[in-house]
Amino acid sequence: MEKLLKLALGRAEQAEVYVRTESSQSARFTNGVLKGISGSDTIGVQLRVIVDGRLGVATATSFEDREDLVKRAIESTRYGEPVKFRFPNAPAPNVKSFDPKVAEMSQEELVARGESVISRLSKLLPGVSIDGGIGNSVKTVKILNSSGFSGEYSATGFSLGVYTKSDKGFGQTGDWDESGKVFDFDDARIEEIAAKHRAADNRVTVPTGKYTVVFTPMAMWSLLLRLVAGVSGDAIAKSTSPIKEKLGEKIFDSRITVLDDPLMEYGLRSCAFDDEGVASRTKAIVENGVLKSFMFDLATAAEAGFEPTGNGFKRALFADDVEVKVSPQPTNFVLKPGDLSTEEIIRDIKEGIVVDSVMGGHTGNIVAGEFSLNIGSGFLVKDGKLVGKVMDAMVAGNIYDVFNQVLAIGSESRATRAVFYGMGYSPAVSFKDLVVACK
Amino acid sequence: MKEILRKAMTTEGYQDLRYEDVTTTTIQYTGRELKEVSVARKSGGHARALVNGGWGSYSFTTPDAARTTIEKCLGAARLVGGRSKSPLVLAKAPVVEDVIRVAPKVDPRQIPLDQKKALAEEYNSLVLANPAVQTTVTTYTEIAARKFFANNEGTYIDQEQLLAVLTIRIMTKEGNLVQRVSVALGGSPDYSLLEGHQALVEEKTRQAAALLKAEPVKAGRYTVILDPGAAGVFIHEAFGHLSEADGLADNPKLQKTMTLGSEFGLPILSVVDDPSWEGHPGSYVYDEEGVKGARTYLIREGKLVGRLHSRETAGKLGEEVTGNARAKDYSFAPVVRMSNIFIDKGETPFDEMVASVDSGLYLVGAAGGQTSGEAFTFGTQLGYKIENGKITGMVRDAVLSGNLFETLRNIVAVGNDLEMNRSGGCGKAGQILVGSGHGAPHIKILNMTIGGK
Repeated sequence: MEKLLKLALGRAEQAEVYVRTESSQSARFTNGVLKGISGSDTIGVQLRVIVDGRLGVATATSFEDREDLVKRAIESTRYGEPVKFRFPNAPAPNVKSFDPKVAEMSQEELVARGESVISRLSKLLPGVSIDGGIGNSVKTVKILNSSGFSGEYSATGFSLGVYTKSDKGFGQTGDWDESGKVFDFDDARIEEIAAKHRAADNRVTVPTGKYTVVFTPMAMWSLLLRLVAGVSGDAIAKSTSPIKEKLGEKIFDSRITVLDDPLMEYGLRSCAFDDEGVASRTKAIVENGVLKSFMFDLATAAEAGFEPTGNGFKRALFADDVEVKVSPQPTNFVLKPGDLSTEEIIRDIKEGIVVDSVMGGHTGNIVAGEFSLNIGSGFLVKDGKLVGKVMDAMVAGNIYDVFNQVLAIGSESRATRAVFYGMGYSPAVSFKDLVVACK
Repeated sequence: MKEILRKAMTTEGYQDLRYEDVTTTTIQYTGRELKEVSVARKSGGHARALVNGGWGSYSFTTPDAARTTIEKCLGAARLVGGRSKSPLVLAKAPVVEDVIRVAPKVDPRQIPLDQKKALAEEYNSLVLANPAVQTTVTTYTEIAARKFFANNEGTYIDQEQLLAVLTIRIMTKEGNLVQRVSVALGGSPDYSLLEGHQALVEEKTRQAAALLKAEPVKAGRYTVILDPGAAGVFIHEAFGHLSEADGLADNPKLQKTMTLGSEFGLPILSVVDDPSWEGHPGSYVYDEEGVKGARTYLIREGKLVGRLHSRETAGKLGEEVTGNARAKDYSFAPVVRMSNIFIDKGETPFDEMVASVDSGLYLVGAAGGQTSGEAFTFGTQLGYKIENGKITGMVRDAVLSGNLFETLRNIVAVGNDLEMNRSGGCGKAGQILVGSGHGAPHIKILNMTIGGK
């Protein structure tokens, strides 16, 4: 890395070398049976240089040809975006993001843990077809730059998911979780999955209208993703965010607090620094309903006249690769829990809908806060009880309206995932008068 | 490469190895700003072993790791195979040795970067000239891959794949209202297909501006006409994923739901998947298991007649291979994926279709979708009301949603104007694939659920 940086600095004003190594494996189960083990070992190297105030980038999968990498990076500055930032050099905090138990977990243990969850669920749901997946991963990120920063951190990831099928063979219900450390689904959680599966055996439709709607943690990403888009430095710099001028103003119900928290111990996106070497810090995005902070990378911060927030990552909604251009992305995006259990929230509902998973959360006018979601797995609640699976229904609104229609916030925080990649943590939240379209 | 890959494998069970060199060129404008010009080079490999019905698969970075990676796969495969209840027999595939080179009319690899940048800039400026436009994201993407494949049955393939596509996302804004329309050009190895679409780009920009004055669609059930863009995404999301046999190979209940010969729609409906149709985003010669891609009828005249296979799923179901085992890149094991899926051309002219609707919606363009098996959802870019057989006022924010089986049966007219998409992305099993083709003629669907406020 030092040699590459030195070589680049012979021809550039500033330079940064980024190296990410990743190793992962997962076991998958189909219809209750272990089906396969797969894994990957990858390395990605990226060189960023600044020449005449313009940024140039080159990516490779090894250090084999340093000369070529430097040449390509320098060439690309010819068209590079003009940048006003300097690569940072501030000490990074110590973050607990690496669990040796995850890193060292054997194939056998991975398989045994997966089998345990599936067999316990299978006992509660005899005859039901169950699929599952379990995986562990280790990622190491190293950054060296011309401002003198030299940093390295490792983060582990552990994930577990189970999915049941209906008598027609389609997905009926499921559960998933992800963490930096090893966890298990305890018997209460297995029972919760089984209860959802049983409730879903009864298929119901509801008339189009306004309902009290509870989003569970698994579904909350779809609403939080719209806040992520609204506070993204990109939308601020480009003035596409509807809340660009609202720092310090109340935008949500005063019970809503949202953090971007990279320092969380063993969170699914915990890290010591971002992909540009900016030291991690926890910041309130929304505090008691008041908009407090946006999320910037180096370029958008410089463009919009803010300080970088440590949110520059080589990631996008559907990509997590070294070659992905840096953009403002959340770390652990966390909606702070309230004081009611999910059970208590549901118990108080006379007639409403629990949304446990959604489809289409990645589509529509996201930056404007609008959502129109197909209820993938949702339950009709009558007098505080789940009475059936809601079929062919959609729920729609705008987060800047619905986060002012909050009825209750749950006390149990769980991981939430934006389609493929974990994005943070949320409790269940219930909202008043959401529009549900059905038959 | 042939010797390196062949020497790394043994005769135990089934084994295969892929190695790829991929060069991705990206040019991106955001608004007036040139955001990115990059040429990324990646190479790496992927190994699989199948022992007693159990799979082990791992990716690796340099060719010299092929041998040790195969050993790691064998270790995992033995562990899995030891627990398997039924041994798995892969469907037979011809043993081939082949070299495939791409020779488009105009090869994008021969076009200087400056010229590509100028083309992207020209379209981008054209959009920005409209005062209603808030910003744009104009992206030129070129993916040039050389892929090697070998298995321990003797197959060895060295093939090139090439794709050049230009997408323009147009964002208009008035007050707090933001609207988006996108347009894609090219989507094939031929650079010349990217040129000369100025009129289309201007038309799409005008539509994006007009959406600011459109009324939001009201939630409810409608008779809808989908344009080829929206109908193509519909067939991809709603039906295509279900025809991928990996979903049902280990799922006897779903096999019953998907019994070949079942009525899925009216006789006017036929659906086809075809990787061998050249010049589309999902076109290829050999899939990632070295099986030649072929045209597969999925629905013919309303009846379910086929599905898409890897060698594993074809073997399990006792059907023929179709060449649909695909992987995003060397980091992933291949899974069953569509190539270019489309609703085949019908007979109804568009004007006649519109005239037949008393009250409904005409929806244009797709804005992403998703499926969970029998339920599907996708957004559209813009729409119009249809009143008394005439297209009238513009509407915005229409999102469709429904049950696959009902919706297929509710397709009551299929147009005579098949059109394929120019760019497509599709996510499955954590792999988001760029090369996904879909298309359709205009179609008319009864009783479609539309979400809205």
